[in-house]
Amino acid sequence: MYTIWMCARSTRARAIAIAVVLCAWLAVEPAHAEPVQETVEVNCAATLDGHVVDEVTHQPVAGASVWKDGTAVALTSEDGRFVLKKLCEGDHVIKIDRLDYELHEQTLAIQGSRSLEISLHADLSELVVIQGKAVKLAELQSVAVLSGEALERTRGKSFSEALAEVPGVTQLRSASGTAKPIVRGQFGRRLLMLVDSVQHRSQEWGLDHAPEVDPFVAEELKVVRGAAGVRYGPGAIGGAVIAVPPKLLESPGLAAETHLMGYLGQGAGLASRLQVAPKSIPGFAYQLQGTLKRLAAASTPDYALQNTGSLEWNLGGTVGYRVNQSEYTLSYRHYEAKLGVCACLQIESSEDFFAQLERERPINSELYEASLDIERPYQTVAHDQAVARARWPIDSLGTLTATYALQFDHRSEFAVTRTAVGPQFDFRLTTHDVDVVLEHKPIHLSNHWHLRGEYGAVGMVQSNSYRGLPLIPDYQAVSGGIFAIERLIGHDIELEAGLRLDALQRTADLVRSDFLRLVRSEQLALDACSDSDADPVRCESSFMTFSGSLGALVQLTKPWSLTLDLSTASRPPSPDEQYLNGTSPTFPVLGLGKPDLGSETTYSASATSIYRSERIAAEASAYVNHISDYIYFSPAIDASGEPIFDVLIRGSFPRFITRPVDAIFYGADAGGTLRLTPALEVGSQLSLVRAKNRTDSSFLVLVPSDRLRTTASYTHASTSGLEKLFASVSGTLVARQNRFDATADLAAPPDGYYVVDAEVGAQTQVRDQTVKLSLQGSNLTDNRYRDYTSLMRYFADQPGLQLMLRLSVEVSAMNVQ
Amino acid sequence: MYKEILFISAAAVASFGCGHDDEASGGNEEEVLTTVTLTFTPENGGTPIVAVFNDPDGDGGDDPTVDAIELAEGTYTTQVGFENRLEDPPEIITAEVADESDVHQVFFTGDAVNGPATDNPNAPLGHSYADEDANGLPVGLENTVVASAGTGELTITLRHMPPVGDAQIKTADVAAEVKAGGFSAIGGTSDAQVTFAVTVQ
Repeated sequence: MYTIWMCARSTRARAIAIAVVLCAWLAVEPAHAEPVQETVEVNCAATLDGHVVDEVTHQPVAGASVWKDGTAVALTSEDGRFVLKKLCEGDHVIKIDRLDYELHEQTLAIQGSRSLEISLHADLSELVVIQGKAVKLAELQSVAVLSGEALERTRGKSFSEALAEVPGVTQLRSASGTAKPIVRGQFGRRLLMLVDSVQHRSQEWGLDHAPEVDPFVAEELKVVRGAAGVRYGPGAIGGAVIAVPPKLLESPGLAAETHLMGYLGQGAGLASRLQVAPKSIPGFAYQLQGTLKRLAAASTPDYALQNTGSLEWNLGGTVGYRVNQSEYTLSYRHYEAKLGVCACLQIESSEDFFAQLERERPINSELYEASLDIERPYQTVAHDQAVARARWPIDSLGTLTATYALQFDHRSEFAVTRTAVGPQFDFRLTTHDVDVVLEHKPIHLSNHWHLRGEYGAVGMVQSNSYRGLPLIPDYQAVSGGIFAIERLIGHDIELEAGLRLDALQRTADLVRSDFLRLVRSEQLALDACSDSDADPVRCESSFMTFSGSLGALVQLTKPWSLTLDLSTASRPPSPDEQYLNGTSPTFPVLGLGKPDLGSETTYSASATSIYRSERIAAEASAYVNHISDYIYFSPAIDASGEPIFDVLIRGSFPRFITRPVDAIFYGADAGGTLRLTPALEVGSQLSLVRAKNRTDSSFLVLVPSDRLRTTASYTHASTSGLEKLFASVSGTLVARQNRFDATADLAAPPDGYYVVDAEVGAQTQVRDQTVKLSLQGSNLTDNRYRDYTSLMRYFADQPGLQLMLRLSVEVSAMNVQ
Repeated sequence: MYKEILFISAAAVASFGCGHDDEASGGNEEEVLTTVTLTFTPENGGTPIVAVFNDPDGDGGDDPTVDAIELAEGTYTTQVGFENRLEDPPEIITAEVADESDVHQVFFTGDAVNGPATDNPNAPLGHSYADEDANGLPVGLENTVVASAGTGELTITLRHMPPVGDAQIKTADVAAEVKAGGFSAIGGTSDAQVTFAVTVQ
């Protein structure tokens, strides 16, 4: 654990590159970065509480060595703290040392216990400036992070497949092989996604609309389980999924990684990233990243899923410039995909749909082929994101971050047609977001307590243009919000309070025939919108929403902490919930919105307990989330309690409407790993969600059933040339969803199932390149099953055995060129 | 020394700016059916009897109107027509179906019919196909109906059966398969499925 001393100044010049790596490694390896060192001195009882911060930024300085009277005794913790116990009274020389700071030395007269704040002065004479890891405040909510090796193992998987590694996250799978994440039963409109700290703006309301995000843009995927409305906005009523791209290199150098994926029998993929900080332009850095993936249709154990092939690519780049303490970055990312929809879908007529539910396998499935060709029906999606961001330190205040983001989302859906060549559904969404956040300097209330906080203002302008079969109107929206979060940080306790206020105004332009159709369906009064004779008819709605949160973290004993979170957040209805009007492209139902819906409001409480020691990492959380006026898309019921059917030209369709009900979600997530030997680790994850419609005393649909995953992994370091060998096997057990509403769902849930996945991998060093090879297999037993939260379940089985071979090459070099 | 990595990175970054789909442009390519028209022309002369299923505002909104079919006993040439009346002038879909007759077929089912797709020996309507596609298979735009006294329901289904991969799924057996197992026994999707009440006196 004292390898940090390699950072010491005497060896600095030669060991600099190693030190950088080691310091970084130590910073992320809490087991080694023991914040507290005890020295035993007989008959001495004084204690020194130290808090080391940067003189300018007031950020804590982690991983600095603490010396007492010429002996290294401690390292500062992630929040810059150290404790020296059993000190003898009298004078002591305390030295604090970190590579990128000037050495701090002072003589202290110790009498009884005392606490001390030490400010370090950044050493600007150094060629290599290592910025301390940006301060990461402890999470007070239930947050799961996928990064490092865990994230690397998901390379080649889709965004939601990668997220599904996290306890409490499951997937809502579509009929095109894509999926969107479900967090504690919430998805789509209630689960906000952020890419590069910018809300991902897309047609997230569609059940079969997977997020247009390539997981390779992220170096870290973070899942906030539970309402996070204060920091992220009203959409985060059920949580947030955050994709954090890698930071630009902060010192001259180069890093590159390339992953080649072979999906055996199905296709191939390539993902690459290049990061450069040229020595010739200090402070300037850039990165480029791209992926390409082409897959043939997947296959169930018995037949191929005709037409589920896909073609996906993504390209992005970031340039940045740092000068003094300011930082400017510009990023652009483009994602594009063409996704075939399974030929097995029968949604054109409800009679066809209900008739085929009885079939064990799709009609004509003996003709299905696992082909690369993508025929109608299919979807195309393109998403552009451009982000400009600046960070400035403001001397007396703190740090100001301003962000502007422009996003353009274009989704087209192509149905089986006779003569038409274009899409039948075509959505274009343009969004401008502005975000200004001031993070104030820590305010020291006493040596034991300080206050951190941030204040922000956000604004958004959005315009949606839709062409195609009747479904949703064109609309424009303008919103603005302000928020404030303050956190009181003590030694073993942290308390946080946050407030947010948002206003949204939405103007929808309804094609006159669509407007009249809503009026005739009795969803909308003829005089509800400004001028009912106009074409289009303009309907306006505005919403004011409030979010608030209270959180606490208590460090109970050394490895054991407890967090509590109380939140409220409100979400205005989305445009489809207000104005949906037509047969759904996903289900054989006639969907009608409710233009005068109000916001839904959640009141949630969550408690999380975390235990981390050298051999055990465990986390358990329990939550309850009451949502009043929960906007629910469910069958329309007539006065006598019978479901309403509408006669259309394709037969009679069940009518589904959006309406407010009172809902409650509660449950628990738990996960843990136990290191049995240095090489062998076993782990388990359990997720339970219960969701009820309290208005009708019925269960809500599409709520994931109980699931348990158990993993055993074996890691062996240094075997004859190979640096590392890795093998893991995991089994997932998914119960049948027995809590369902037979009237709200179109078919009874499928049986429970289990799947077995496994991975073997090896890592070696070829010259200065790290080469990794791994083979992953999913559904090893080629099990035939259907999944309750898959839209495919009405028509066909899930894919059987799939194998992926991945070759990764990574290289990095500092101070070259 | 990092040439190979740079090369791979550059390749990933540079070579895949293609992939634009010509079909993705445009929009507003609706293929809506609003109207199904049955025209019963008596074989021995007389005024044709017309029955219409009409939903002029499309899905949702006003309920469609459905004419009852009232026939006298006798033999009729029966034409089935499809239109989109959301367009002005109405778009005649029948011609599109005729153009792609090798992947379309109209089925006559319901308890008022006895014919290739139903097995109701005592039903008031006896149905037989009177047209063929390029492969010699029935289409169902032109039919022969023999009416005898009775009542019941007639369901007209326009089935679109594009090939699966390269395999034709509109085969000579589809009507018999519907007779045996309903529409879930054959491939394709129903572009229209409307039901009329039938009275033959």
